[in-house]
Amino acid sequence: MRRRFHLNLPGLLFVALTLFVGFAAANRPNNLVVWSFGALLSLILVSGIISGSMMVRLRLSRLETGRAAVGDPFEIRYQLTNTSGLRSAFAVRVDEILRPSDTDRHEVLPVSGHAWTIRVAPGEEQVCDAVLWPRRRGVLNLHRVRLTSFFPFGLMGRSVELELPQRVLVHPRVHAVRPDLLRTAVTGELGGIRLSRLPGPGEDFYSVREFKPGDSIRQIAWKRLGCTEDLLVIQRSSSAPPRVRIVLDLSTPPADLRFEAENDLTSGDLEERAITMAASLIAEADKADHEYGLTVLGFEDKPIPMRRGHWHRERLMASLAEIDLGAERKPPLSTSMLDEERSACIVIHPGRIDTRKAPDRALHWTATRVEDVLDFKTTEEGTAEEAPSSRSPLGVPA
Amino acid sequence: MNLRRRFRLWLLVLIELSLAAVAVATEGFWLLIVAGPVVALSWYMVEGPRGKSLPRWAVNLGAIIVVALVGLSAIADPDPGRSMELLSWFVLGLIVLRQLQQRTTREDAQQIVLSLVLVLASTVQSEKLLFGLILLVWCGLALYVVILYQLYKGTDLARRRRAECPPDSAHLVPPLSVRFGPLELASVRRTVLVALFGLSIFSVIIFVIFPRDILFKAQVPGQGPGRRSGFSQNVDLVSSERISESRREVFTLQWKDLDGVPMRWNGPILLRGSVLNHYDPAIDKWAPTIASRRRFTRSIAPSPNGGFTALGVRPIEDRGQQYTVEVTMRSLTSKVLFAPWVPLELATTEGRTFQVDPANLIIRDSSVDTLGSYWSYRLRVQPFPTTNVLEDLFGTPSRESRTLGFPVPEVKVTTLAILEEIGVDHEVGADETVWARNQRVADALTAWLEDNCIYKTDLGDFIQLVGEDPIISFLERYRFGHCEYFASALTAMCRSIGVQARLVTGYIALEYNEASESYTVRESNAHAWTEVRVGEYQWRTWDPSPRSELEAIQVRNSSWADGWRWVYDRLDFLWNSSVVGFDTRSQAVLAKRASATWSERVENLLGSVLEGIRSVNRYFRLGPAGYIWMTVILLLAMSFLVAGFAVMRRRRRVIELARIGGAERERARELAVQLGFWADALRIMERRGLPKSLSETPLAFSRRASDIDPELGTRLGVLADLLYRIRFGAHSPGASELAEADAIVKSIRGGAIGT
Repeated sequence: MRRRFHLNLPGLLFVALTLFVGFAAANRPNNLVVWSFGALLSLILVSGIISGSMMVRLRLSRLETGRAAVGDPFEIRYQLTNTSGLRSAFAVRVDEILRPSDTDRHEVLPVSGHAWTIRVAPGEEQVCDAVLWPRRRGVLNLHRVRLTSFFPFGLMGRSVELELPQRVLVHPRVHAVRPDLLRTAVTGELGGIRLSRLPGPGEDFYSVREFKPGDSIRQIAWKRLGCTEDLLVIQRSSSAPPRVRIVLDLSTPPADLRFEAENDLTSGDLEERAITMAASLIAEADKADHEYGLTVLGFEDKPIPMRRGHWHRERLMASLAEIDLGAERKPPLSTSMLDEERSACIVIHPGRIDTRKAPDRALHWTATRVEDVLDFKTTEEGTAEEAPSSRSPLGVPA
Repeated sequence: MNLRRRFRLWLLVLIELSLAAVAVATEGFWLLIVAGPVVALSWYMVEGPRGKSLPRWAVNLGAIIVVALVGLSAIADPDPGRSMELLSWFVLGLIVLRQLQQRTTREDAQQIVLSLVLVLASTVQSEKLLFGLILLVWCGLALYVVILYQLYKGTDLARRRRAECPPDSAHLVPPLSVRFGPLELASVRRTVLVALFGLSIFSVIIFVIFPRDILFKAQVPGQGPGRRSGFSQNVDLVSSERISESRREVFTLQWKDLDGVPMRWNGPILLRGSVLNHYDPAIDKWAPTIASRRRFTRSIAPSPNGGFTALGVRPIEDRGQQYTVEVTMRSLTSKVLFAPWVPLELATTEGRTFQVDPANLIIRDSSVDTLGSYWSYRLRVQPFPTTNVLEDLFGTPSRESRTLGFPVPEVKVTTLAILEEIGVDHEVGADETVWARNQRVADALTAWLEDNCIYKTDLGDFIQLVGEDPIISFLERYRFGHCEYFASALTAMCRSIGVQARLVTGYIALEYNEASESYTVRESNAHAWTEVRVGEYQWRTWDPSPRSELEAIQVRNSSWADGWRWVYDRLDFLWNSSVVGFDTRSQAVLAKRASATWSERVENLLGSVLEGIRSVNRYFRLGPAGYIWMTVILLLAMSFLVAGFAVMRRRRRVIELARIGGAERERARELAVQLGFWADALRIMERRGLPKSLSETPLAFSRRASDIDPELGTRLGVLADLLYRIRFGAHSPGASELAEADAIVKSIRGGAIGT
């Protein structure tokens, strides 16, 4: 914990004004000027005493952070506790302080937003939040938090810095996929609609079973009633959702990546584009209620099996967020598993397409032609959006 | 009303108050009448439903015009003394213009600063009570406005930061939740009161200890800070500022006979304050001679029980025709005691020291061991003193009283012409004394002045010509003026032809209140007259100002408000004597009193403690060794007291942290002993920067700790488990368990979190 006083520009100007009035008071036999000097000087003292005593009684903790994703507001919530039994704390500002390495190298989180509370009553616990906009996906290590208040007069501030380490995953940015692109890609191959192995609300016959109280009489197998005395009901089959496996090919080391140099794009930018494409496809598959899985080539991570639902999507996104592009690349594993899987397969390459790394039936897309896949006009929520600039391949404004 | 609107409203009030301060300080009330409504109108214009405002270019143009006007005014009258006035004008113009435009938070702050500068510039120009009151109110309001500004600015900044989001993503951002309701407002007001209290205490301390004589000299004793009394020790014929029609009560006066019965004197009472013998034609100014200033050597100290002390060099034997004059101050803080001719004895209710000029019988306060100015005094006077009485008073006549001649030669020519016109010979006749001649000439010249000159307080037409003395202008050119011109002319004419005369300034008591049986003397009663020597010791008063005119002015200025003025005047007197007149001497007196009081108290306390110890020793007949025993017992008692206090404090803390306040008393006491390890662990964690929040359960806290440091979290988990078992599982821990818990607490103490 580190406590400090801050003198800002208005404070300095006020001190200068006080000295000037003090000089005038010493130079002129006017007791009102003397009193004014005393009042100005007292204001500085009172300001220090009030803000100092106020901050001593404040406690801060960071609550569990929510989901962070590039392009989405990242809300960090803090719990402020005023342990004083008498005095309220006013105008408290909470800022995240990142290590220089976090901000310089990754630029994950440009710290601009801060939490603010106007008053914490005596003995009160209050939750306030800061909204930040992450720039890049990756691991974000929150480190220190600073509580600041320039209350009451804005002349001098008092700050307290606390060590509150926390690890946050920033998911990649999600863009809308061009209309019908995924449907076309999935239903054209093995990933199309199939029957499920479980009974469901479909139309095709699945089996019969004994009647149970609560079953509709419409489902009773009347024809069977003649053959057996037991009352049976017909079970219908359900259709299984389409399946798609997204393969992110990061097996080629960035130095060996082949692409047409255009708009100052680097291999790293292209790999980030590829990750964004994968994330966007996952989001689109989730929205279309498909089953989807993820395989990242080039690292030792195991392929993530086919599932669907919110938690599966979060798992895949976290997996994409944790990809460390600086790590050593491994040669891709055998594609036999992909061959055996009855699903559509979309392979995303950062540079030129290499069809050897996936089954023959796989679709190959490249990050160099991202605009063919992703629709930058509309985001996932359907709002208008600008196309990505050359230096900001993920389309996140600085 | 939301925070922004509330802040803007009170800022407007603050600015109006600054305008009032400037208006009072510069006595330019038209300012308030003109600028006040404009500023008030800005509220409707800018903050009203239509939200109109002046465009920025118009405000900038207005600012340029203000700068140009102030610059032209400075060029037209390049007086350095006007710098603060010009600064006020400039700032005032800027404030009014800015009020009429849409403002950002930064510009709001500038408005507050400009308001502060305006008030500070006014402070240099005024020391009036009304201004002081406005200043105090302004300070309180400024604190409130600045605090509101801090909250408003912070909220505005947080909102703007939150709005800095990618385009069309604003709907994704959770809104900033800021509530500023009655509870918050009440809390802010309480904070303002606390700040105001602190400000008052500190500012008074600084005011009292601020060294007054670093760069400027302390005020000359005797002159006093009573610059607003209407009375002046000098007469300046160039400036007519002193002449006012102010109805401020200066003091009240009761004229009593020797039996103490109040009575009305058969004429106006002239109260002498200063005797002016020296006229400087270069600056057209009457002043006391340097010799008379040095003559204030005889000190008297009336007894504080109210007994009279003689002013003369010898005791007065003749008690005939004596009266008592009781003067009670209302607003004057002058060091001079105003007395009718001729004062014999003085009495006060406080122990003060006075100095007397034996030649002119002018008395002034020179106390160095008292604080503030006197409230009342009594004088024994004899309006028609005999020669014996005067001899006892003066001792030997002073040399200065024989001063003859006047430094402006034209006055003599004019005087001779006037005397010739009215047929009066200025030479001493064969069968008359010099004193008789003096009376004859003074009578004649007074009559001429009353007949031929007009009394006027408005001297707008009295244009003084270069190279012509104002007295000559008065006698030959204009023949109108106020009392100072009349008295100056009579004194000058008398002295020019060899008649010893002197100018006297003070007050004239005209207004008699039948109900209180006293005279009320106001600022407008400041007066000047002439004294002519009519004997070896005798000086007689001639007042050439037409009495009827003076009384007419008195009646004309009277109003119903005069009856209530004393309330304000009393405050004004307090203000002038305690604040405006606070000087180095007052500091010394305060310091002396404070040190005396504290040292006395400490001595008394020590004495009583020692006496108590001695009496205990005597009672138990312990002898000299008893003091050692008592010291040992005292130390032991203190140790027990400190230990008991520490135990109680720890128990209270444990009860608070483990939330066992609601348990039965016996159970709570038992738990407080058993759960001490948890309180210790929490205190250590708080010191290490990981405090447990009030809403967090012990288990959740240990889990949070384990996220940061798994080992630490495990230890805390063990402690939390023990806590649960003791607190909720009715488990009674053994000594070994508690020792183990203490060992875990000790292990938590060392090492940093996360290592």
